[in-house]
Amino acid sequence: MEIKVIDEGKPYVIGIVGRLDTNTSPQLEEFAKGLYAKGVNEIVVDMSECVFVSSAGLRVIVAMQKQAAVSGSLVFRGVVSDVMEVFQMTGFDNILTFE
Amino acid sequence: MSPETESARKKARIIRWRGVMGDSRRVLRLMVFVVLAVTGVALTFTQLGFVDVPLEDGSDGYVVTLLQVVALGALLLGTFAGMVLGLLTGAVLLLHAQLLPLDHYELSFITPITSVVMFGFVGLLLGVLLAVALRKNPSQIRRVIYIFIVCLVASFLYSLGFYFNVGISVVIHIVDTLGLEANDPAVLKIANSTATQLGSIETQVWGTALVMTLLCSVGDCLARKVVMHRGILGLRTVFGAWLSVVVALSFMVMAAVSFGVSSADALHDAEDDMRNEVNYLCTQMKLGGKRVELLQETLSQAGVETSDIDEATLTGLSDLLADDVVLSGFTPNSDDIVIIEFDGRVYASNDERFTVGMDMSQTFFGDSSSAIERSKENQQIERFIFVDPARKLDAENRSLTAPDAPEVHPHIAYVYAQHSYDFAIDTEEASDEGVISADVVMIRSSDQVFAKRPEVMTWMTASSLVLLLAVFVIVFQLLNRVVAKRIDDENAALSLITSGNLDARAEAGGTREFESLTEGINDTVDTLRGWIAEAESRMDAELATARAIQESALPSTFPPYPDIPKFDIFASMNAAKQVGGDFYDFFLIGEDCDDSQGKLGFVIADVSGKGVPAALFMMRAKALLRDYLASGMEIGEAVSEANRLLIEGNDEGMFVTAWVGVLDYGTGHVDYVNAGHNPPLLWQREGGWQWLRRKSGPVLGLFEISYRALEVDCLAGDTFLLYTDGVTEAFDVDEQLYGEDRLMAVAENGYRMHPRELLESVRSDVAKHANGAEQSDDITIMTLEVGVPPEVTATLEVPAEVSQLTAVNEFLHSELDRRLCPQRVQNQLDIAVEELFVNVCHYAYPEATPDEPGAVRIQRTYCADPPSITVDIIDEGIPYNPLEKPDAVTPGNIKDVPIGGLGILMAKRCTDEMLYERVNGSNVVTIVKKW
Repeated sequence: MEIKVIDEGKPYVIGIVGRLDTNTSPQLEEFAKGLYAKGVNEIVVDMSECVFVSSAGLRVIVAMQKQAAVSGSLVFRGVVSDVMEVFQMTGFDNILTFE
Repeated sequence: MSPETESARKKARIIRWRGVMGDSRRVLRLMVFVVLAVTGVALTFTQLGFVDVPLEDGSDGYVVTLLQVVALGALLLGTFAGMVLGLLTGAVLLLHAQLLPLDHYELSFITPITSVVMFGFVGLLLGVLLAVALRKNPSQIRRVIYIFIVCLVASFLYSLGFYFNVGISVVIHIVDTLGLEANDPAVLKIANSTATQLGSIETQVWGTALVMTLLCSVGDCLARKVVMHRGILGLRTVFGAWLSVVVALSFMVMAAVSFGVSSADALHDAEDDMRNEVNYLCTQMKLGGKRVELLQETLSQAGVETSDIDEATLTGLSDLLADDVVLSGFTPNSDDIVIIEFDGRVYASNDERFTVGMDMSQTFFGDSSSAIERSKENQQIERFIFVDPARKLDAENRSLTAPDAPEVHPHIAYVYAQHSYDFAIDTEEASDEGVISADVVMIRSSDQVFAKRPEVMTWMTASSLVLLLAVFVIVFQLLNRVVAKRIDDENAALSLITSGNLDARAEAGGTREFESLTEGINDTVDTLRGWIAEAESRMDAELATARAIQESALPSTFPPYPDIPKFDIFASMNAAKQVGGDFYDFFLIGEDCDDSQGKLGFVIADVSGKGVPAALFMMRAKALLRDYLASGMEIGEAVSEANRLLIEGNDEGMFVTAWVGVLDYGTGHVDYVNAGHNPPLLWQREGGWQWLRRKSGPVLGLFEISYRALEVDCLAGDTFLLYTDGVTEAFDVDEQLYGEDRLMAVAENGYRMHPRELLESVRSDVAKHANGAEQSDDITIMTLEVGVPPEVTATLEVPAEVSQLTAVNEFLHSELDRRLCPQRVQNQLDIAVEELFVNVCHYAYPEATPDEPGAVRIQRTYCADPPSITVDIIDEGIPYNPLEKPDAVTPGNIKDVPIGGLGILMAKRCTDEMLYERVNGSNVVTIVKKW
């Protein structure tokens, strides 16, 4: 899995490439923590190249969403249909913000 | 053939020539004959038979139109017909001369010889000459030239003959009446002058010939067109022809009627006119006194010796004379000849040809009494007798020098004669009636009487011609519009219908009959369409039944031998619309097949033809091959025997291509026979996909030969791809074939797939190629993978470490990819597997150490029908049932999201079944995912 920075402005745009599962989600967790430490809390996540999200991935997403609920914003864009199905299955389609 | 016979035959052929219309139907020939005959009669009686052409030198030329009729008859109908028409026309001419002579020539010269015989002869002559000219069927231009020559000859001969005859008649007449000798120069002179006054022979010859040529050429052309027309004539042509005949005959009738009417009219007018004049003259003469001196003087002036006439006669005469000039105040018609005759001598006349004192009995034509008799019989003389009672003379006092001279019967008469020369006097009749007066003869020639007639006739002819033509055109157009066009429309609709377009409608209408016809046609077509649809649906139902029977005969349970893990076979047959002849078959051979060794026979075949006969042949072939092979017979022999029996009773020459194989699944050895079938593809470890092109022999069912068995050895994983030509010969809309190359390509693409998936992949590729074009042949495919069990169960054992997830995923994906499982489904399975595997890794072995992490066994079982995968996650750790946790409630907002429990929820939601079992100290979680 690879996290690429698409835009360092406001909001901060990152892209997730590959699978977000139990083995790769810690990578995202670390990355997000790094952003929050830098004071970046307005984040857009480009999901167009993210082909798979498991429950481990969702946990990381939850954590980020909780952070955004406190301050900042979190938007997911370009979510592929398989992943969207997973969000719908878990009710996350109502919790997360999409564009 | 001897020359004599040949020439005799030639002559006979000429005599028997049937004219240009020789080959036509009898009705047509008869019609032409009748029309010509009627025309001849009409022309004669309307006096158009001799067309008088006045020439510059004062003489007349004739164009003999009657000859045209004869010539046309000879041309169109042949020698015999020409002669008959000639005789007929001649007879009519003779009749006419007797009844209504045109002039004194006609009266005197038209004898049976000049009419019947001459015309008959000319008709025959024309027939013979035309036969000679036209029998070799020359070209158009030559025909006209030949016709012209013949007409010229005929016209010349006829004219010559006629004039000759006239000359002879004149001579005879002169000799008879004047008592002159035949060789008297006077005779010749008279004959010559007659001939001159008859008219120019050249005009007659050329004029007649030219008109004849014109008419005959036109007639020839038309007749040839009619004759050459084979087959049926159109409505318009037939109607047009009959209408022409009717119009032509009407024209003739109208001409004849108006001729008669105008003649009678003219005659009546002349009568009245002459009567008036004569009346006046008589009045004048009544008033006249004795003018003996005048008479004497007049007579002596004329050189007549008055001593020849006695005084009493003179006295009597003078009593009757007017005071002054006898003829003063008398205004006859300028051309009328008035003669006052007394006792056979001219007393006075206004015409210098009748000099005073001329003896009226000594006329050029003599024999006046007989002439009169004849004329009276012919009703050519109208006698008008003036009765003056005051002028009765004593018969005894009147006597002439001749002792037996008849009594004086002066009378007044007028005569209408055909020509200015013709006249007649009768001095005897009046004596019977006892009337006495001076003879006044008023002669008005028929030229004068009927002077207006030609003009009338011309106007009448022209106008009735125009009128009749207009009528013809109008009637023809009416027929065209009201009938012919509508019939054409109906025919057009019908021909559309018969050429296959049953949706075409007839549309002509306008009159009751056509509406009814149109309706009738459309109803008929609708009814037929209904029947056709019924028949088609019946046939479709039959075919559907046949196809159902055929399809049910093919084994369709897959996998067929789930207990035998030594091969995986899959097959499908998609029939084309018509019941076809493809089949496949497989069966175990022998009694002693078990799950590790045995023989599987497998067949794919294609019967020639479509429909029920092909289906029946297919059933036979299938049964024969199965019976012989399943009995354990050697494959070559089995196929040969089956072939032999297929040949028997195969009268239609049907045949079947077949590929037959026997797999010894214990050893992987395959024996096969290819009888004219498409070469299958075989994937082998070494070499990949190769065409198996070797053939054992030709198609089955035609030639009794012995088939050679071929063989190939297979390893596990080797795959056969068998098919029928419905695959390689599948068309797309541009008529491009699917072809072997595309098949090879899709095979290479799917070489890792299992047989079912490989077959589906081929089938969908063929369908994609066809892209909507109609399937023309059965598409049958069979795949066989050697050494691979039909439902794959495999196990992977990994340490219970999360990092092993990748290997687990790979283990599952490899099978799912081969099974064409969609990515979405695989993703969902991954979610579930990840959750459960991670759970095991985290909780199953609480006492695990990095060196001894504990083991997890992943077992996957693919099930083909319906496609599904069952994954068992087995560990030997502490009892742990991941399903015990209550379902996490779907979070409403982020605050409510539990960190744990979500995973199991997701796993449940992503799988079709999830079960837990504790078996023999092992946790077994089973998930099933279907697609």
